[in-house]
Amino acid sequence: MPKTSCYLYKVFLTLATLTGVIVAVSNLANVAFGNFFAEIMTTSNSFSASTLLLQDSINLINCDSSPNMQNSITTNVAQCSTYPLSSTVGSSQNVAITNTGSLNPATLTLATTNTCGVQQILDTTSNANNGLIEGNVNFQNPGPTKFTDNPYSLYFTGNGWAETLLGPPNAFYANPGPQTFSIAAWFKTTTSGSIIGFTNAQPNTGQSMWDRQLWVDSTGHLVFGLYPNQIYELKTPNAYNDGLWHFVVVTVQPVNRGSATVLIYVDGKLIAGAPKDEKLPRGANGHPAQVYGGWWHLGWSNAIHGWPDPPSNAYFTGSLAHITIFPSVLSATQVTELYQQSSPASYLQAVNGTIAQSNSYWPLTSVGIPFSPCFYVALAISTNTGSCIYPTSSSLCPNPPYIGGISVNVLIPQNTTSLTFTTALINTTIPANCINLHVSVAFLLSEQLGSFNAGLVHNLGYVIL
Amino acid sequence: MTKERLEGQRKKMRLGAFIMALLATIALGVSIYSALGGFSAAIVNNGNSFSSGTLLLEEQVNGGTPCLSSPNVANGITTNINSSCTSNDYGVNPNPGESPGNVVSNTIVLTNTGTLTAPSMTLTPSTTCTVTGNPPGTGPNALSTGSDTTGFCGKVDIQIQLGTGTTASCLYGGASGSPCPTTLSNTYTLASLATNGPITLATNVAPNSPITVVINVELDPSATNADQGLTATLPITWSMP
Repeated sequence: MPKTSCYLYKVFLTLATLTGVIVAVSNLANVAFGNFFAEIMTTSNSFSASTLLLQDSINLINCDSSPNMQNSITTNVAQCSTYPLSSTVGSSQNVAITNTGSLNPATLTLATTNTCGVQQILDTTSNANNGLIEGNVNFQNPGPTKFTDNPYSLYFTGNGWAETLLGPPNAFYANPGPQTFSIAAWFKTTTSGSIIGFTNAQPNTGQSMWDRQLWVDSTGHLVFGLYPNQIYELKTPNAYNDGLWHFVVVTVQPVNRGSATVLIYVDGKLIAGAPKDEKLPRGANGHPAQVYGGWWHLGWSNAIHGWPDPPSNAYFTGSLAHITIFPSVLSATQVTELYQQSSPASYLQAVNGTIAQSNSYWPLTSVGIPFSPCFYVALAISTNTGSCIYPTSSSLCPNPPYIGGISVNVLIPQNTTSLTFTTALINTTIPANCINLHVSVAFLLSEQLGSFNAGLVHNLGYVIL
Repeated sequence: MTKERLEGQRKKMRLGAFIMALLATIALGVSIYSALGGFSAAIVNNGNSFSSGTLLLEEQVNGGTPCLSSPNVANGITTNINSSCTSNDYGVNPNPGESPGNVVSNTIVLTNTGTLTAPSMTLTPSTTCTVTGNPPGTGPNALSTGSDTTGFCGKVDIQIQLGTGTTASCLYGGASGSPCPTTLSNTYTLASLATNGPITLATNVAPNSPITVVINVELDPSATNADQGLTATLPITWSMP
């Protein structure tokens, strides 16, 4: 073998040996970490948010800022069916407060959110013939089931009503009063009472003339009464005091000096009346209704006096919604189309000219709107420790009469468990036309911590003057 | 003599020499045996063994009971995966519930408790953040929880920082190489962490050299009422290599 070849052979052997060693070492490393590993899985890793929830209790009726169920917290502000003020002026009422969440609030406040005043329901037409609420009614009860959204109504408890604001000399209500007109209303009742009535006095006292009244008689039949210098009454053959929602339309149309046409439609169909149904006496001078200027009353009429089939109660007991007055005679087609409306929004359009133009429309779907100012009633609020937080911050609340009006925005001391609301009359003498009026203001009880808050809205109550 | 004869004689001579040598050896052996009796010498290597190193991980959250990748008992190493660790890297377990803007800071100490130097140590967040209601509490609203079950993971801000003090390095929630910002950002949440992938904490992790990780979490100050009473769960896997 040549010497050179021998050297090359030795170099080759050396390189091969080194390579083998390196490969072997490398393999050892792979064995150590290629298959070795250690792991800890923290599957319990979690982060939770707390809850800030509020509850109050009035006369053992609780109101919670959110329902007691999973995934229920959204706005965390609840509309409560209770009211902090007793309906009897001069009385006290206790409101228990409980923080029902897992967080302690940074602040707990009580505030009024609108102007205190006499409560009224809105006429949404341009005439704005709003109605002042009197007696006992409950807002935002379930409405006609035919309406798929915002199905609210006004519940009349059998001694509440609304007197409308506009009367003579406004054109629609001035002498001789409506003579060509239609009345439409949704109603639900199981008993007897008045849906609507017209008298020559704004309150439900002091009237000397009354007619144009629609009621459910003691046997459940719908009755419409007019007084063209004689008693006129049209009654449906069937009863509707079945606890279901019904849509009634009455149309009154003078025909000539001797007759008029009065029709009653129920649920879109003509039920009672015929052409020239009403025979007018000579003295009526062609007017189907009594000649006088007056005011409409919702949930009350004076039909208990003088009509042969009177209601057993002058006031309505049950739910009313979408009461509408048209200064025209609705045709059968228009009545059917009105009955077919499936939402308050479409009904509003229908009575605003799409089907017929009304001159008064009371949806009765919203809460009462305070009619400022809040006269006659004042308020004092004390905590469970006895200290006063309104109208003054002091160890004891002052004796009546308090500072006039109700406008609250106070911090409630921490650890307060209850508040006592006491109303009082500012003036001992209430004008006759204010007696029975509802005075109300919306209260908001709320707590806050960071971006969390909880609220309880009380806007469904009143004090009766 | 021919070459072949000469070779034949050499073969005979070599055979004879071999026989003579063999006889001599036997004779020598017999004589030695006769001389030393039962003496012998042997080496038994009882220390002969080959051992494997260990790669073990320990996690301790906020000074609590450590979690081990394998139990500290003989023959305890099997999968070397501990998936039943009850530690909560985001706070105590169960979490009592936090209010918006309240930062919860957690110190997590990770230690290579084996004998081998690990090439690396890694944090791998789960790819799924789940939301449930808090366990029922007490009182009249014990069941109430928020409705934002789809958005809640995005309302939980998080920072992950290696080390403490001025030399710390922000791994998630801020710029690397410096400590995480004092204020958490809603850009970095449990929802975004779930899509982030693995985060390397360290390389060449020597045995018994603790590595400190700080995890800060808060319910973002913009959380709404709909985020009340909810629990977000995002597991983390701590691993070597």
